[in-house]
Amino acid sequence: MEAVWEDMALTELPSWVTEVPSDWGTASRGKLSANNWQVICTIHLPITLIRLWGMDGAPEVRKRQLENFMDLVRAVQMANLCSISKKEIKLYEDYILRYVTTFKSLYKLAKVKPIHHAALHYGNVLRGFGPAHTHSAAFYERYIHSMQSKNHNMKLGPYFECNSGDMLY
Amino acid sequence: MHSSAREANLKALLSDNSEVRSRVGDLADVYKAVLAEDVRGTRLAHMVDAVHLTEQEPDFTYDATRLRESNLPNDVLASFVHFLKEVDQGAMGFTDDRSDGTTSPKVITMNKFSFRGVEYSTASCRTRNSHILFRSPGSANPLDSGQIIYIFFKSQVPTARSIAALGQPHHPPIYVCVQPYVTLQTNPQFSGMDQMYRRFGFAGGFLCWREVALPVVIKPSSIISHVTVTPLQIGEHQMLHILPMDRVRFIFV
Repeated sequence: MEAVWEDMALTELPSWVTEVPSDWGTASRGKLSANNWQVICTIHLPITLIRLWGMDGAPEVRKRQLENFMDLVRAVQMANLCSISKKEIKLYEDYILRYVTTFKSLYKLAKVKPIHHAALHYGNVLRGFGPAHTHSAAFYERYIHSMQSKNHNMKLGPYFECNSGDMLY
Repeated sequence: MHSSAREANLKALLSDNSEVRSRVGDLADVYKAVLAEDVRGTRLAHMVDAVHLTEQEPDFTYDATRLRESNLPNDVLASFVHFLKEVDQGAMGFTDDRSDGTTSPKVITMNKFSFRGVEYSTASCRTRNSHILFRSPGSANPLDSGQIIYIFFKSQVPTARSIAALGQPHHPPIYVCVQPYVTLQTNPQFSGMDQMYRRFGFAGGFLCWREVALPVVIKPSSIISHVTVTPLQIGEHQMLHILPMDRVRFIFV
């Protein structure tokens, strides 16, 4: 973790990429947002892990763990393309299948969770509904956040007008 | 969402199936043009790189109140002249705007601009937005990375060629001066180290030396995306790790 934090401190991200808390992964920092995890997994971890585990002299198990992790990173990147073709969907499926298969053999004690199962079917979702931005939860997440920031009294009832002038139902 | 999904399906069908494409004929081009219309201002057309189909002028904005007149340093001026003569063929007619046939170093500079909805700036203005991946016309590499040091345009002197070009861009042609990072691939001794990252394609990025080459001048349209830059020490060597942040389809290996 120290190595990741050290590299993170030196990394210059474009202004449109949200910076991740410098102490992520500690109990004091607590939970991270989905966006934070995406930045960590697709930017910060590849930079450090390839340097540490991708070298010629690195232990074999670390190399396999790196390959496994990078399959996940590539699958996530493919799944988030703004436009996608059948060829790229096939690539996504290859990466995610290899990730889940190798994950099972590398981490014997880890459980395969529903999210792994869902990820294996996401190729079909991309085939049926197109790129992720057409059906992703980002918009709804922002909307929920906006709703959560409003004051309320936990009582259902007719609509009322809050201070900002917005109508709530 | 329904129409969006149908659009995506049809687009994939047109792109993957040559028989369908041949049957629909010209309709495919018309459909592409309609699809590329950014009527909602969502920048989707830019995201899928289809903007050139409907917009004659790229989406380029800058703050006109922050322009400054200044002189280009000699090395940047030399790159600029080279760019105009070799790449841009002196299209706007100001390669030799002085009586002795040389190019004046006087230019109008800006600190930042927005292109396709993404802000790029010079290293001195906002370092985070100054690291880019770009196509360099004279380079041996398909894509280079570097840092923007100047953004400028020449004050326009109307010439026959520039008048002929009227109706194309509404703003003067903008030039971006970039200091490219020196790639490791030129040295076979270190290419293995670089390969450690490159073998993961767009997800792994690549390595460069922690030094810059001679500045090059490019047009904003040659910019591919922002990159993240991380100084790394690998063994005894000081390097930079470069990771493209967007439009990763250009970086497939």
